[in-house]
Amino acid sequence: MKSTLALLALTTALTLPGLAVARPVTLTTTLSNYGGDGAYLVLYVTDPSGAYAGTLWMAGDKSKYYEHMSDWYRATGGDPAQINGITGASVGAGRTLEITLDLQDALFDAGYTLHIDAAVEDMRDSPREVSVPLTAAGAGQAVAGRRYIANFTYGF
Amino acid sequence: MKSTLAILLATTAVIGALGLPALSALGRDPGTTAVTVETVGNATDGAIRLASSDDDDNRNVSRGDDDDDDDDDDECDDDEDDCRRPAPAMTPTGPVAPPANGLFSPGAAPQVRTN
Repeated sequence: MKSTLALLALTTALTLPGLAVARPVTLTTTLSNYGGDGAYLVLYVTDPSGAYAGTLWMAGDKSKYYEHMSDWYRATGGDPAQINGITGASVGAGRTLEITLDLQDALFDAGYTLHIDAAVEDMRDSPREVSVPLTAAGAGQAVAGRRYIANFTYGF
Repeated sequence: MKSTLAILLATTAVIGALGLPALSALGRDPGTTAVTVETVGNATDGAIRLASSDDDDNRNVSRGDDDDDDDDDDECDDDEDDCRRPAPAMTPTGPVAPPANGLFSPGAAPQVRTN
């Protein structure tokens, strides 16, 4: 009887983690004081082959400016369906955008990469301002942007 | 021994039956997913007013030579100081379904804040 219970416990312990397929992930983007107006940012993911997989958030609500986030726009054609329900305000210089999403575990340690394209009025567009592989080990490690983003981190 | 195997099989079957529907539902039912957007602080301070480039191929907004577009819906011409929208600070916009792009899990309530 004891061995049966032990086997049951073992089976359950091995099986239940497989059901935990999603986890809350906080994406924190802090902009530098670049001396310009608010930035449009789009956070999106590419799969292991580099193909566009989907968008996580669009900061900026005027669709006519989306073309300035050129890599994302090239991949999506600016399709509104890609950002339906995940669009918010643009982000001012020096401010921090914090997004908490429930993301699928399958995105981590599987070759997926998170990218951020940025654009600011009267300043240069910055596609792939940040590109960071989604890995468990990379959680909490700050990554500097190329032009407008002081740092970006993701954490569980 | 047979009873042990039977119990193991039953346990696995039950857990599999619970888990597989949950797995198959991921990213396929946007109606069950809600997004809550909460803006804290004055999120539109310094909100972007990118110069429109509707009529040319120039994607660099820095040149400033593409302001002569005839875009009727352009509410924010460069010489208007009052075109910025009032700050929606502290105004939750309510639950909104995210796209079913396979990245999000259903039933989640993502939150966004700017500060």
